[in-house]
Amino acid sequence: MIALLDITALDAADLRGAAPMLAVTCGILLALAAEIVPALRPARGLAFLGSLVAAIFLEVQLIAAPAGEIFSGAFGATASASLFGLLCATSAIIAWAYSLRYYKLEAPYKGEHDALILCATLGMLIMCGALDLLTFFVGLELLSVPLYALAAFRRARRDSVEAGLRYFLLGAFAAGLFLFGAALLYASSGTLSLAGLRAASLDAPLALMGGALVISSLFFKVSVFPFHLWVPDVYQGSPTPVTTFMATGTKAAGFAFLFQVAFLMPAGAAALTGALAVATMAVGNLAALVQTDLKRLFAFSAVAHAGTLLLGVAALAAGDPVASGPLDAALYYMGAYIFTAGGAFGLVALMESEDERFLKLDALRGLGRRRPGLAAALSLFMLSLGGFPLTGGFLGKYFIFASALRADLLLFSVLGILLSVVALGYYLRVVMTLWMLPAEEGAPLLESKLLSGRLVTWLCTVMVLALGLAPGWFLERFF
Amino acid sequence: MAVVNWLWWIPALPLLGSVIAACLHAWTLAARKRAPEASANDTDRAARLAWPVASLAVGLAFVLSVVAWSALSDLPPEARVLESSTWNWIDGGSISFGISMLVDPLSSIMLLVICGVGALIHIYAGGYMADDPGKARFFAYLNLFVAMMLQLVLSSNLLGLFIGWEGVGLCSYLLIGFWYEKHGTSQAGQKAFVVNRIGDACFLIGSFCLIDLFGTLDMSDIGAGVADLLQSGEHNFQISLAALLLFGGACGKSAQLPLFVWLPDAMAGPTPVSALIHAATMVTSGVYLVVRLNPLFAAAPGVLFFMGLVAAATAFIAGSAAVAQRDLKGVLAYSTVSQLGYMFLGLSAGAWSAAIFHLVTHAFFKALLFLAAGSVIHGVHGNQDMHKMGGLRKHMPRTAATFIAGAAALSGLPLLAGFFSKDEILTLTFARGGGHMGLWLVGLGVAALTAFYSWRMVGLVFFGPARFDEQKQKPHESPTSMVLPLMILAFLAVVGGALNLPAVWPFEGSAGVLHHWLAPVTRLGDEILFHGLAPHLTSRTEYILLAIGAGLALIYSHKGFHAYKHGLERDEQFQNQRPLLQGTLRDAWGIDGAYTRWIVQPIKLLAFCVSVMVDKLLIDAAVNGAARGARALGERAKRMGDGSVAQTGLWMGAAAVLLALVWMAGGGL
Repeated sequence: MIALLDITALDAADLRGAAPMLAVTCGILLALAAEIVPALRPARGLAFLGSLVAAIFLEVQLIAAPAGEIFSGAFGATASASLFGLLCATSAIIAWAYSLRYYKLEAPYKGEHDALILCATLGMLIMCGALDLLTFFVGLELLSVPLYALAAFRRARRDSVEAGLRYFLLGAFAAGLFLFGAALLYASSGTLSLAGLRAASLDAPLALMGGALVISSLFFKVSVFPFHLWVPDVYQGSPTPVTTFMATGTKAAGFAFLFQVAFLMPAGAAALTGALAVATMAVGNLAALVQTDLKRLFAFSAVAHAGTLLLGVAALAAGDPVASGPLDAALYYMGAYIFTAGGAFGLVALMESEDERFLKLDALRGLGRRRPGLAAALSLFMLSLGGFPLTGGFLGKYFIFASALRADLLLFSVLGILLSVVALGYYLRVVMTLWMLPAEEGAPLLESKLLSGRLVTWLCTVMVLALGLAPGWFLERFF
Repeated sequence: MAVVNWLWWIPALPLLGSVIAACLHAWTLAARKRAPEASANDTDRAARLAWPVASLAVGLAFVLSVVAWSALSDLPPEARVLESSTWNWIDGGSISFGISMLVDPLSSIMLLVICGVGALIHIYAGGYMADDPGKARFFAYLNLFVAMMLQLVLSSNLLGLFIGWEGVGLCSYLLIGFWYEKHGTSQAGQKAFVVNRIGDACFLIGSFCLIDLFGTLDMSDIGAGVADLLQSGEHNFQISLAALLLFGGACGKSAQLPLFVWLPDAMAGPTPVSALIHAATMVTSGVYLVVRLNPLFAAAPGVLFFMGLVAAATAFIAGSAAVAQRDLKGVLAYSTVSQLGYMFLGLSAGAWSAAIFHLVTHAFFKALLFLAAGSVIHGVHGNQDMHKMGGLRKHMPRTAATFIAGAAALSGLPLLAGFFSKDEILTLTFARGGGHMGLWLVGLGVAALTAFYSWRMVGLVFFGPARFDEQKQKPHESPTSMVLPLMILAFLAVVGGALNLPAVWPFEGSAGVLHHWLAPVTRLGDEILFHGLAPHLTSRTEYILLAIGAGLALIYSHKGFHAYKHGLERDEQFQNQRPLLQGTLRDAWGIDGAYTRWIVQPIKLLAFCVSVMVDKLLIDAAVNGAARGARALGERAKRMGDGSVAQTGLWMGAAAVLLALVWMAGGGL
């Protein structure tokens, strides 16, 4: 059983390890206080950004000098957990930067929106470092519940509300699966801590069933086939900044824990995981091929990328001879993905906020001529998502497939690489539409003067290129 | 500062000049675009700067080469190597490639020739291209060529050499097609490029063989490695294979059989290009390569003899073709092919320094002949047909005098440059004995042909009646900037033989200067080939051979000049009485035509078939089919997500249960 926390027993390491979470908590409190005290309103953005930047700064400190297991082994402030946490906080900043002035009708409630995003970020940070199924569940719910509300944030719009409800119903179902699985594991081994579970024998049918359910629920969160069915509707219906956050941050946090609990899979499950990874890539890429709505296209692309990351999990389960290989590969992949997908979804948000409709692929026609900067950034993100060399996406993919090959997952790697060729079919279609098709008569200009959006687009562009061109710099510092 | 530290400036200067000239060209284009109505006088100011800049760059490189040469000559003979520090370019585990600049006796000679003759040709080109709207582009290409050629001779390993090798090929292609609006020039450029590609493929495969054998491409390491391998007596076949393939590469670049067909067509480029690239420097890089790798070739005597056969055949076919050309530059082109054949003939007999000697003198007199021919063509407003010239010595006396000096040197009249260099090759071929005796006989025949066609040119162009409308055309002498380089080259063509006088030369210590200078480079090859017993001739034999060479040159020079100094009668007679032979000679024995019919056209047909049958029907169908299939699958995948929440939940629950069941059943697939 979890040792009850004794508040007086907290030491400096506990505080240091929890510091990023405390910073985000301060941000939540300030954001809520600003709703009550009108004088604090102008400082709302500052509080939001400040708390996340502080969290990132503290995570960087933790990467250099990890605090190790804290809170009596409930939370691990390890280097990889901090790196995942850093990515989640970055993802929140990206989503937030694109959300400014996105909302029209709901603008008065923007403070709540920001507070909810911060809550979800806190949940992610907890998920990233959880060493205990129950701690993880707290983080999971802290992430999920705000996201249900955020998905339905444009309450006047039917699709947004429907997205929220759909996400909530299926999310609750997944949470149920998780809890039931955790209970079965507890019944079988008498512990919920990962260290305890690792030590216990998990060959009993009860434990296997429990593990399967826990992992199924994680598959739901990171949208692995066949648990991805909620993705297109929810991603499309949610406000686009929220989609940005869901696609990047949630995925990072989910995979952070998935790598932690990969040991719950029985020996020999690597092949099944690899098969699921390939199936996920196939479903995502093939379905994205026939989309005409930009957000839906990116939603299926997000599913496909979850498949690639899952191949990393499969490599871990299959026993990559380089022990840290799969996790490092996934971290690099996730790092590139946060900026690439964040930028791509964010640009959709920028363009969408002008007129309230969904953005069709055809709306991008001729944009290369009229708004070359935006088109160039979007093209770069497409190339990186497609895995072109000299972009971060390429190296991420390379590391994942290299790890899978080291772990003898030859068949799945080949299939995965073939499916990334299929993916080019729609990524390059976007690039082609931007640059090679003439604009329709009277098409809106899709102009957006949002400064924060531009700055973050620049940040994403630079990071995608830097991750592709100077991987050594990052590998030396963060791995 | 130590010499080795600025060696890289030698290729860098022309490269810089090329970049500046390219910028000047861009400025000129922009100025023309800004003011489309303005006269060329106003818009082309920037372009006029390209000539001084480019000439200065090559001139400075020449000064540096002289300094490098003098630094080298201060060292004791066995220590004459200056090598810059190595930049580690590729570091791939068991093998790594560096780029470094190496000046030894061989490359110092090449540096002097390239920069010296190059600078003269640059100065000349200023006058020749003065009215050309693209002159800045021209000098950008020409300077780039010089930079690449210098990289080729300065590199200490084959990979760096190959960079220069490909670079000069590219510049050659660009400059042959310089007047791309003119019909046929771009095809000529393409032909040169494609034919060279065959040679370059051989070069690359040969390099791979060397990597396989020695694990390095550093040329001095290869030389040492060959000596070691020979002692162990293994790998003879691989050595021969590598040497043969590298000779294939040299055949492409140096226009030997069967790959010589591109050089006559390459005359479509501006004449300074023909002088610099297609006579003096680039086409001799094959000779340079063989001398540079002389231990490797010396270890493959079979390949050397084969090289002699190829060289003799090339020299004869091209020499006989030169006799029947009407185009002035055509004669010079075939003559170049033929003289390159001489150089390879010398190499096949192990006469490394004699080949380099002929390379140097040939650079002098052939550059001179091309430039003088350019001056003639410039003077008669673009006409190249010798049948429409005649009597030009009255109109352009200085050009005529220099051209005659060049022709005399080419034909090997006694005491001129060509006499000594050609004779040394023939003498050493004779001395090699055995099968080389036959090659020597062919060489003698080609010497006669050379003398004949040289003086035929002189007679047709400068003597006899004028075969054009003198009132209308008004031929004129060229400006001083063009004539001055001609005079310098004419001087060199006359006295160049002093570089390497024959052993029987009466004055003590004056003989074989170049031979001794190159001795450290060729020592290893000589040891391997001759085992320390270099063939030796008695003084009497040498005198007899010299006399035979001198006699042949004099007789056939006289014959050629006498037959053509009055007009065309001899050519007309030849064409009327022996039309078949004349046609065969004119088309260089129909080799080019045979290639077109038996190789080019079948390949084109095959390419057409492949493009229709394989590409359209097979590959396109497969690719498009796969894309259609993927879209159809995508439609299905898309519909999966369209269900209600309950349906989705059912899928998920079922999947979770399935996962659990599979795991409980035994863990996996």
